[in-house]
Amino acid sequence: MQRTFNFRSLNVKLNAILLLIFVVLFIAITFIVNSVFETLVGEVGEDQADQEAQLVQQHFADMEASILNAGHQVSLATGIASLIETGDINQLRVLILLQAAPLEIENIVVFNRLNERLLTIAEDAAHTDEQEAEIAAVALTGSATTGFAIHDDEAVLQAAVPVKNTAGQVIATILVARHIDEAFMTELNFAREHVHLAFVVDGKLMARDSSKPEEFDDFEITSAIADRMRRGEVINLGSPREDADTTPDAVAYVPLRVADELHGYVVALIELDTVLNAQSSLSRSSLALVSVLGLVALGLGALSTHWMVLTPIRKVKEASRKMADGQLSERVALHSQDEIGDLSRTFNSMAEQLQTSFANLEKEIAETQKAREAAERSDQVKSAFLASMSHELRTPLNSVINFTKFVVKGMMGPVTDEQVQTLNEVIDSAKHLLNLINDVLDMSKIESGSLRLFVEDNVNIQAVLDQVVSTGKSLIVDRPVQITTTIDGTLPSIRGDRQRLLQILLNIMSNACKFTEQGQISVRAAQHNGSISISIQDSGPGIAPEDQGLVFEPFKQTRTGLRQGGGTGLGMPISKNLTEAHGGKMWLESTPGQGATFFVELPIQSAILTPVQVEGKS
Amino acid sequence: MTTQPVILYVEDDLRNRRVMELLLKGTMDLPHVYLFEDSRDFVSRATALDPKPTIVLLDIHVPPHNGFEMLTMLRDLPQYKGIPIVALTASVMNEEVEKLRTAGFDSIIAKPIDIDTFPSLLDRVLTGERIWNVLEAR
Repeated sequence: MQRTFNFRSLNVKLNAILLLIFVVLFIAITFIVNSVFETLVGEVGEDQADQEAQLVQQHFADMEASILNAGHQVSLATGIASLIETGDINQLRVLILLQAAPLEIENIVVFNRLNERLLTIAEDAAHTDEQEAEIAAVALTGSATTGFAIHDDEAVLQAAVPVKNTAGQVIATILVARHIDEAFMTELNFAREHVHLAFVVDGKLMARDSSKPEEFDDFEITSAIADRMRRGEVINLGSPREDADTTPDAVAYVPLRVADELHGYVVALIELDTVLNAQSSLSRSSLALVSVLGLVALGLGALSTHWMVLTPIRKVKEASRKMADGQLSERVALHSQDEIGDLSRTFNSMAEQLQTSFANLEKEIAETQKAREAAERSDQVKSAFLASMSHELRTPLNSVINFTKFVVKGMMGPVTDEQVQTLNEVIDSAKHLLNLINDVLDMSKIESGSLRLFVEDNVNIQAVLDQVVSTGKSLIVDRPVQITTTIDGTLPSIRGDRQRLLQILLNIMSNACKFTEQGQISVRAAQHNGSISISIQDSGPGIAPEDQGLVFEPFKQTRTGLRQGGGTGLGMPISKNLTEAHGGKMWLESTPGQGATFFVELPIQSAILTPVQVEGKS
Repeated sequence: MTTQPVILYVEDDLRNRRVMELLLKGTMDLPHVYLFEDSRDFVSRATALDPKPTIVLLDIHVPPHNGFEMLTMLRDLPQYKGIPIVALTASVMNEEVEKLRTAGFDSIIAKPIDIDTFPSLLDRVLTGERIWNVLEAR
């Protein structure tokens, strides 16, 4: 798979999510295992302390029995009774030493029937005579007993056994004793390394075993525990969480009774490390297993996303890219029944629709194009027809007008005044025809948008008006009509097509002349706000409101206009269009019976006009 | 103009040719007016003229070579170099005027002509003015 590593890639995102899930699971499992482990530590600690308490009591009882047994063994030595009776102390000592040699006894004392000390075999004297006498007295009554004594910080476990003669009479007692010292404690502990024992009497540390005596260096008994110790309970502290770094020890306080009398406590510290190591390694391997399984799941997840999600999505992406490049026939070849299969089916149907719409669109465009071309062709045909008509009409008019003129000039021989007058009528009619042709052509130019202005920068509008007024005067010579001119100040030169401006105003003027039988035609012009306003007011019949709109529509003469005859019906529409082509406005105001006023407003420097670069002057 | 212009006018329409003949030869009394009724052998006939024309007036719709073709032919002739070549035509719609202008005509004179203003128009062209406005004064 040759792809650049991209952080925005879906592949990376999905794998990141999987990784995140894995990490969260790992943390959760670790947390659970740890808390289970902690609970386990607590439980194991309590169990261990319980077991230890029983074990210690049991073993102590064994040791108590063992010392009593040792006493018995000594007392049952053959001949001991007769030696006591004969008082042969030396022989007795030898006999006892021989008998006691294999036994773990440290002190042996023999009392006579009067409870007087007969013989003492002792390594030290850790006990008082009174204590020994007291226990020996119990044995003199005929029953063996055990006892406990403390003297000079040393504790001693004792047993007193009666010695009987052949007649069954108690003739002496033998007292054996053993120090509760390090050796004793070590034996009590079975010499285990992970359990540490100490012997405490009245809160005082009397002895510890050899496993790790320093464990008890800072040994202290709280008052709460001391209270419970006075009541002689077995105190199981489980494993108090004191130090989080190391596995805590379980602690048990085990009361020791000798002859049903509480003499002290054995404090047992049980190191849980050993016990828990197995558990701990088990949980570590579970964690490792979870990790490995997680990684495998992660890999499987990544692979399945790749095959089930990413690859299909890439196919869809490829297809959409190809479609974007214009290959509309592209389809996604996916047949799975899942969401991506749905996606690809939806995509394919979308592509289908797109292709269809595109084909339709192309068809429509082609049709529109065809229609437009047809329209253009028809425009061209119309334009060519107009041009041809213009040409065909103008050609004969050239000879009509000019031959007539030659005749009028007398070039073809003498002509009478009457003939000149008639020939001039011919010329006027021909010129009217020419004007009609011109207007029709202008209108067709305007309607086809091909009107072109020959723009100059300084058209003398005053001179144009002068020409308009003089033409107007020539048109009303035979009528009682006055033409007045009111110019407000000096008119500036304006930007525009001189001929077309003349055409605009001449059209209005000839219109005014045509409809004014008598009265006045007023031409007014003024400059204001960057424009020139020109108005031509006549005293003709005026235009009915419903006809005012028609004035500016091509080929729609008003009823008055039709009655009046003449005119092409194109003059006003052409003028309005030419005015607007200059960026100006043209309108009329009229009250029927009171004449009409046509207004033309032209910008002095029209922004929509640019002077045409014409070769030479025109 | 101190010297009289020498005019070549090509026109297939008999009546229009007659109008121009009356105007140029009659009214204006010009001694050198050449009238061609078609454009056959145009180059050789145009080259053969003596005195050579100082202005050429061409109708556009002339057989067998139209005005544009004649213009091209004349432009290739050394003796017509710098001589104004004017389209004298009834084809005066905007696009037609534009075609004439871009083809390289020097001016346009619209038919029907105004025989009263024609002499001054001719003078303006001969003095180097370029006339492209075809609007007739009413």
